Amino acid sequence: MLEQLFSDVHADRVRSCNVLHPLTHFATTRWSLIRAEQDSQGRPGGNDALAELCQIYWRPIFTFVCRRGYSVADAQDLTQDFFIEVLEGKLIQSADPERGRFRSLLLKSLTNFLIDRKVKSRRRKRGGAIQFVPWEDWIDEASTHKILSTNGLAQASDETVFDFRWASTLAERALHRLREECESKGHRRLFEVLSDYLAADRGDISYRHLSMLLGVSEASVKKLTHRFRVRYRVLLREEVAKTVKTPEQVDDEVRYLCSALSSGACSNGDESM
Amino acid sequence: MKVCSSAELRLNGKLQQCENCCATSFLVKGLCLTCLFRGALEDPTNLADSGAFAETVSELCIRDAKWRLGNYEVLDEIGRGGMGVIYRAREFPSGRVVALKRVSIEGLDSLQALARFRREAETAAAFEHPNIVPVYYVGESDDGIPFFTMKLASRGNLGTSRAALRNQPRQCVLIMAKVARAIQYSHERGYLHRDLKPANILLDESWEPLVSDFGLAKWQNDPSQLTRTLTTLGTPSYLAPEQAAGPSAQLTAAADVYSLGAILFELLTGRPPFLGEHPLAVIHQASERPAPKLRRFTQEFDRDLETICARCLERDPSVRYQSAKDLALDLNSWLDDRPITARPAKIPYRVARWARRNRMLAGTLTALIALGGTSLLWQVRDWGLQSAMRESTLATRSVGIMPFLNLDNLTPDPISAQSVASSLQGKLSRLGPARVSLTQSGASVSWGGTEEIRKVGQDVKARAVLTGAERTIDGKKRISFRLLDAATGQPLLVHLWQDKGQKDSAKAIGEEIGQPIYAVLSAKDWSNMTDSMVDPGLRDQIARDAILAGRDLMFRYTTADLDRAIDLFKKAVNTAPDSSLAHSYLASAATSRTHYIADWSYLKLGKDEAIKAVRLSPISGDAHRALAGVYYQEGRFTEALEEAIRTVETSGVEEKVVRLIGITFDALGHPDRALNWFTFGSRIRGTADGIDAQIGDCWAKLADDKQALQAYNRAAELQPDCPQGGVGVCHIRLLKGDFAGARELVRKGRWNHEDLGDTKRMAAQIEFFARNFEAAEKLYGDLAQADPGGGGSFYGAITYGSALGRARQAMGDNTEGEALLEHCLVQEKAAVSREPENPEVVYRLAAVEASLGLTESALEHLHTAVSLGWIDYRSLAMDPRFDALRDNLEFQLMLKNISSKVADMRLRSQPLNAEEWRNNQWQRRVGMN
Repeated sequence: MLEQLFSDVHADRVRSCNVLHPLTHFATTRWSLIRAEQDSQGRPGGNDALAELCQIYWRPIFTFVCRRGYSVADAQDLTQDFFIEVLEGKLIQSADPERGRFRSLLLKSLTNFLIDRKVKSRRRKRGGAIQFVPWEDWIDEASTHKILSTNGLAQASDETVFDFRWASTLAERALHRLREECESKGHRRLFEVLSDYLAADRGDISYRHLSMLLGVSEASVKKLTHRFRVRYRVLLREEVAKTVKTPEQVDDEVRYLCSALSSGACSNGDESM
Repeated sequence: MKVCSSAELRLNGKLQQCENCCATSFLVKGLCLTCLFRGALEDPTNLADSGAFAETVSELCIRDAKWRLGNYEVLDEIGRGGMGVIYRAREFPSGRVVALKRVSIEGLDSLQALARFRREAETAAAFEHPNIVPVYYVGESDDGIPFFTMKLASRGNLGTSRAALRNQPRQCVLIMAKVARAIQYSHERGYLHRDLKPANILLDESWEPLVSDFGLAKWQNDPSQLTRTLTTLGTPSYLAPEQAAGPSAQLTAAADVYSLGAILFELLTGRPPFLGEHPLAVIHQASERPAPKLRRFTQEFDRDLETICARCLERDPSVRYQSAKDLALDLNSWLDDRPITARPAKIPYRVARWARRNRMLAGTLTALIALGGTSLLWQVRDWGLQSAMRESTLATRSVGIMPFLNLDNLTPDPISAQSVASSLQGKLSRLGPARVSLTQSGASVSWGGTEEIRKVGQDVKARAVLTGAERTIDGKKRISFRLLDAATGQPLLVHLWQDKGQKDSAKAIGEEIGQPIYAVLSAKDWSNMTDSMVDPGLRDQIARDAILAGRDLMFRYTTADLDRAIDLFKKAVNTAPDSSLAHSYLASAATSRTHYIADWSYLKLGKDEAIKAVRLSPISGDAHRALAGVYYQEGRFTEALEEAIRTVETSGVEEKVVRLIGITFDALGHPDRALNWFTFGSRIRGTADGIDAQIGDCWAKLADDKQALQAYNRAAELQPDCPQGGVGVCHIRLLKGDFAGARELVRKGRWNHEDLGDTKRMAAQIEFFARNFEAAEKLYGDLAQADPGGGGSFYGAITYGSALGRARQAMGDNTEGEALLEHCLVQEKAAVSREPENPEVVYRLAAVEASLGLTESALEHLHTAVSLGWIDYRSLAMDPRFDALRDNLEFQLMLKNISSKVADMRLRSQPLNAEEWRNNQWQRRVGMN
């Protein structure tokens, strides 16, 4: 299977044209974008992907650092410093994209980074005062982290927590995109209504209720909800695809994340099955 | 306001078990992460039809109304900004298609993000400027998400139009000049943009730029805006280096100026000043290395444009243009092929060659022809950027009152200010919400300088400052009020109040000035007001250019330049006949010319013009000063003084006017008051630039030689090229009778400039007073040959002719001597008829008459001169021309009177040093009136 490099935009267009099999065309992976940046002579605007990176994936990083026992403020600083190193290209150069996935690479780099920081006494990096993330978001995430540590995940390993947060990041992003797709076509209300049923199984859905709500037949409602879910899954897979190199790896990654989620979730052995 | 539902995407606190998979963590309400991911593992073939959802929806015509937000129907998405999405939308019922901006999904993280978005909307809505994108509506959708609508820019933005503009540099410069003015506008209202980049400059159908996206705009003191998100940047190429330095950096308008320069740079060269592999590299480069020069990338442009860009891109913000307006002005200058960045005027000393009248050339001349420094500046360029940095807590209707300045004794009067303050507060409160505060500051040194005003404004958190200058005329008080913009020092209102004998004058004042002050305070925007106060001569391009050019020429102090300046001002007057400023400058120029060449037609021109100027604008400081200069030249010192004081009343205290007042008092025989003003003036300026010699002269007249010597020595030290100090010391020695000492100084003095004449004059006078008539005759003979009518304004008012005549007489050559003296008599009589109130002129006549033995006449004129203000009794005592009167009783009495009058004045003058001034001002002995 050829690796096709498309920009996100192109991929979108492709999707909406619905011409080709979605699995053969991937949005450019994070890898490729990053590597492209390394080679380029700094086209203005070419750094969007890197900046985007930070914005999207900072939560798992931050959570991990918090789990390692740092205070919120320190974790904040470290997260930012970590991203600075990512932006400076230090970590990527030493990574081998052939081997790992973005997620695991990031985690590995992060681990090394933290060790490195502990060994050399902490120095404020130049440019470290640039804030990647708005202040309010840190606070939000920190409180989320607290929640995490009080539930069943308290027993889980730091890596598992990282994966957990990673997974939820991807899931959130897919949801965002679906929502926007609906909104831009004026189906905001539809999204609101259907999103409740995104994960639920057939038996759970009250088709009659929905049909009244939406003013269509029950049969149509069934079709609608099914396709809604399908669409979401496609988007979710795309988000995953951005973090791996080949289409084959998508399934692997999803499986991995599922297991990470279950292991973390079921670590609380008191829950009955 | 309901928080949007993406808050749902937070992990909630409650843990539930998914019925499906028994996982115990949830993502959103009821949505289980595990299930979601499991779902993603489905057979790929099922996922083949991913467009199906959209299809189905459109098939079914779901009864979901078209997306409506308020009165707008969303059409399609145009683009995405930092935290917002921009759509095209149609407005109901007008049908107009607008741009609609709404917080995007990513941006809907928190209440704070929503607040930020709202702030952007409100900021933009408050602006009304042709080059700022107009905001039509700010509102909220049903679920509480804020949005706003603005004009749809049909040609996209500068980022997308870059290529199209590549080959039109003039168009680019023009666009950026307009953008700069728009940014200036927002600065004046307290907002920095902080995120200027090509994508934020939209273009409408006629390529008119519209600045948008004030999303990161902020008040300086808003703490929640301390962080800056890198993620909102596409590239930091337009970020000023200090912006990346973190929250501790104090951003000023210069930060936006940098961005403007970077954008211009890119428009002209096709690339931003710094490129890098990643944002950090760019930022580091921008702060470590100087910006590249424009012409490195393209030879198309000239040095001026390169200079403009370079100045914007300076790393040190204080070196850049300090305001966007300055940048806009230079860009416009470039477009008009005019020189950029004005050169400061220097005042050279060597003008004496042509001067006939005054020995204190540098001092007097500049005092007399000094042109509206401050007033012109603010009208042309100085928009006072600090207005942009006002604290958000400033009340808009607030005014701070400084202690009034008593012009009669130059002391602060806080008590009057206090009573006016309470009366004003009362009156204003009856008109509406307003606050009057009294301040103690200002009762210090610089009295109303811009810095002082700003400080006062900040101290009492007032938007405007009221200053008052009071004096008493015929027992009645007269106060001139000036209301100034606290941020910029610009005058908003000038009001002269005259005591009409009311019982409670403070109350009367409040009643009279309350309404106009309230009207000014109620105006949101003072730029309109100050615009309308701009002289018509500056609003017309031709007149303005002529005025500015003429002014520059005047500072060159040569007759040729002065003539050219006069022509230019005449042109300005023709183009803008109701421009008070043009008439004032013409008056000043014409008057100054008479310093060089005694062509009285110019004085008449000056007078006519000055009177016109005052009539056109009675509150123009420049007009009154021009008129004061005219009167001074006419020898009508009392009128000159009145006009000079009026200048202070209308345009505040300025160093040059103060100096003019000083020399006028001196001429009127009040060296004590002159001293007052000179010292006052030097406090304002901070230096006693060139004033020391004049101060020395005053002390000399007061017969306080110690002080005089101190002052002269200071002058000699600080201005070694200028002979005034040295000559002054000679003068003292001479008056004390130390002829040898004086002679020695003349011989050895470092300040010995043959061509200036002062040295020669001094030398001649020494011999004359020492009664070495032979030597004196020779020296005066030389002087008279070069300048037959001169010498009258030197120490002792000894014209060469009269000295020669007297010397010859004394040497026994009566016929020759008297013939010469007769000639002088005629001349002096003519002079007196021209300037009947000039004590010096009358004194000269008396001297000649005394030499000719016309005792009665001489005594009479001497008496007149003394009453007009002649007080140099020591010269009088030593002057050989008055030998015939030595034994006359009346003469002796007169000498005595003068000396005691002087002694009186001397006692009343204390040497004023800074500490004394500051600490003892209210303890100063009254009695200066």
